[in-house]
Amino acid sequence: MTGVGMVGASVNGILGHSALIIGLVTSLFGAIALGYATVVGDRRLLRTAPNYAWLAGVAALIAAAVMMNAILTYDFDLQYVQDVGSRSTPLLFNVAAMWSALEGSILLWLATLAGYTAFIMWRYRKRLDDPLIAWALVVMFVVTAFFFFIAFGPTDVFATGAPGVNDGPGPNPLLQNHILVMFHPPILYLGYVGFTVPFAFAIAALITGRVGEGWLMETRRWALLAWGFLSVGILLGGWWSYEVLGWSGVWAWDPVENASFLPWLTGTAYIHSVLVQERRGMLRVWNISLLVATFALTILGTFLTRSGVINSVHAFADGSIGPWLLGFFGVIVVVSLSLIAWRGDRLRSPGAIDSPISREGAFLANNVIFTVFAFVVLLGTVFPLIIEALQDRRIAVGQPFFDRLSMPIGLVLLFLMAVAPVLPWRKASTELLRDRLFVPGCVGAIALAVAVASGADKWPSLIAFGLGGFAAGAAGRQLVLATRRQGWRGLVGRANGGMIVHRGIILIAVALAASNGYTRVAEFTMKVGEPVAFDGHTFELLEVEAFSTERSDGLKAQVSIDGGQAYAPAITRFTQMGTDIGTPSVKTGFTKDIYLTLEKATEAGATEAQVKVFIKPLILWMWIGGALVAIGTVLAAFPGKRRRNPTAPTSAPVPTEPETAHV
Amino acid sequence: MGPDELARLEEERRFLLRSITDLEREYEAGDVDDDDYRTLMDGYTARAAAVMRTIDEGRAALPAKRRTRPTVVAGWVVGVLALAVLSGWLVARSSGQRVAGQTLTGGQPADEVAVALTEARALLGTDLAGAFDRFRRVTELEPDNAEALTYTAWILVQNTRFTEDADLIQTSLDAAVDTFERVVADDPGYADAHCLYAVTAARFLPEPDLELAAEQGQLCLDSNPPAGMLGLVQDFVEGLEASTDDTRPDATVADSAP
Repeated sequence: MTGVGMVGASVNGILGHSALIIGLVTSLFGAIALGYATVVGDRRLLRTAPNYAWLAGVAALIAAAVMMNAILTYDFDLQYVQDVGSRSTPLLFNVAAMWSALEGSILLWLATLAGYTAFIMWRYRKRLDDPLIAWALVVMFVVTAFFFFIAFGPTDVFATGAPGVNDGPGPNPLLQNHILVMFHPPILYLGYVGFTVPFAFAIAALITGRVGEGWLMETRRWALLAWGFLSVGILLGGWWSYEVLGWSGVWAWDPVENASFLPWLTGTAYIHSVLVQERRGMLRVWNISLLVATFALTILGTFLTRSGVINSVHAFADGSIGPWLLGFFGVIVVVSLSLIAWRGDRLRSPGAIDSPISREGAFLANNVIFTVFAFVVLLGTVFPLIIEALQDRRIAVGQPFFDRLSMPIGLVLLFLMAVAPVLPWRKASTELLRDRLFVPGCVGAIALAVAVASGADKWPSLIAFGLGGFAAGAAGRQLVLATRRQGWRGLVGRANGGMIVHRGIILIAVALAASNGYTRVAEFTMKVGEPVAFDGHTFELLEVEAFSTERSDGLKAQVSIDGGQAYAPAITRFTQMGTDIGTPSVKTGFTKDIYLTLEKATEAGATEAQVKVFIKPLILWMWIGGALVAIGTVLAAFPGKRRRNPTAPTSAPVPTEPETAHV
Repeated sequence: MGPDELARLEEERRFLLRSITDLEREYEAGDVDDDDYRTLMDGYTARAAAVMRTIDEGRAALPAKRRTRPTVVAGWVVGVLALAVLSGWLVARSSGQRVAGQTLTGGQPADEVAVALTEARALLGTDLAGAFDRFRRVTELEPDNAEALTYTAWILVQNTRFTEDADLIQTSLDAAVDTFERVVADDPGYADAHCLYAVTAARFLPEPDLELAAEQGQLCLDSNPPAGMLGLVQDFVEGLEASTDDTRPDATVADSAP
């Protein structure tokens, strides 16, 4: 793609700018038209609203497609392509370069958001005269307009770069090392941005005063979908970290990870507490507050990770996007709180929790714990910013803070995961608890015994294994009862799908406990022909060989494990950046992974190399758990056998319930 | 009456009141005759009145604001305060100086090791206890870290100068010598361990082992010690070679170790 010399801008730049300005204008018009038509009851104007959503969606899609085209056709007239594009980067990583830096990730956000808005418009196009739907779409238009503005103005995604540039460095070398960079960000964004939909309906419910259970029924699948995408996206990020970064870990509590984890925590609390409102009409303020918090935290997270504030708090003054995001965050909080205060009288619960030993009592406890967890993570994440702003001291909050607090919180959540599914609504008797917890308790005891017999000796891990078994037993019991009564339908529906999700989460928790507590590490200077032994395995360096591509060169050590297949940890030097990137090599197994990294090697043909060996127990089960979470979420989105009528009174006395009816 | 039903009635009230306004406008414009106007107006008014009455009843039936028991409120306040204090104390305790390139929070263990080592080096000349804590943190994260082990041992040795408790001195020196032995065996190319072990053997052991000191001093020189240490160690080794049975080497190198 060549530049248009007279104006100093490329065709891609002109097309991109045009798409963004069209999207901004149509989103604003959509919000105004729909809002005005709803207030005055103008049905003719109301019917034009879908056109704005289609136009905004197409504009966002064109903007993203234009940027992708610019990257793939090496249009170095654009600043962003100069920053992340490269002629020598393979196609796969050039595609991923689209979201490898600020401008592209804003475009990805925008395209996802406009897509959601267009889809919601299509889904509800015949119900636009319903004020709840109309106001929800107004909110979505407003959020979409804000991101069009951010992309067009402060970020200036399609800015023209310096003249005469014919090649660029390509994306960060760490983003050129694994295929997961293709999937992790888009899936994460589908979750992150997806929470805009239930947030929009929550605000619409407050505006219209319809704060009962109707809006929940409209949004429950959207919330579930967003939560599922966010969960899988976070887990894929952990997998990428494991496969690429060479420290054998999946989670380091860095601010970017925390930014995605915070809305996940509040979102998880919401998808549990919403059941209490649907069932008993309680926790209305709480549910709306959780959705507001979830959406606000996505904006705060975007501010933290995209404004430059993470590198230095002084970027507040220089950053162009930061103040806007912070301002938008403030607007969300103030408007939402004002609306909640305005509708306070209607948000009061018609009843109270009868007993803490009940399903709703357990959900409340679950919510308190998730909220505490979110508070702890938020505090740790913003604490350095607060200290730097107030005292001009640059500090970091270490991993021990998060580990110390997340461990007991995680254990309590595992306990609740075991107990809550077997509790009935309203109250439980001792006999009933004894009966329903017997099998899960046995499974927990067996899990504990197996752990001890396998050599586990650290008490936090042992408690995690025991509680994991307890919770898995409870989820398994629910699924067995459900499938016995309903056949294959016992695996679908929110309650049963939820139990499959629980099993996935338990697997992840157990894998984390095992790998955090029992990873063994050793570093060896391996010599060709001289095997070394570690943790019951032998490792033999076969050779050190060189490799080279157009963009990089490097060394890899061929290391045979137990006299069998050779694995090849490598160090790659990206020549344009002069950066060395280690690439681990992993032998994966059901009981443990053997993870090799090349720490030092001098030259091809060398007879020795420094290799680090990590023995990671049960790590594979983390990815299997992630797959179960995804499958369970999909199954939970299907209607179960007995679907409640959305208009049924929710505050009425609840008849005695078969034990598997709800999560 | 639930809030959704109440909102529906309010929407109906808005519609009826707007219809009355529209009807009056049309009547004034002469588009509606008197009879139709009266019939329609009576209908709308009656419906609006009925709806407004139902709304009032519905509002009255909304759950009243419940009084929360003071003990419950106090419990929540105490809980929130306890959480705030505990997490504030922990976050302050878990924070430290941020060095260039380090992330705001968390990070890989290797990053934490690098930060702790940086801090420990900076504290070595001014705050031995602080430096010791950092080096110990490194050995928790990387039990075989040669630098942290070496300087942990060296600080133990240094501390013997500030106590007259013979048992404590002996325990510290034993622990230090064991650590030096471990490091020079595991990482023979690490010069600092040889240098500091040599100084310890010559100057701090109750019965100086000059042969060991000379051997470790030479290994230090052979291992390319840091530039700042090189000249001092050379003088130290030469002093050892020149020393007679009761001569002890110059103490300068011990005082100027990093």
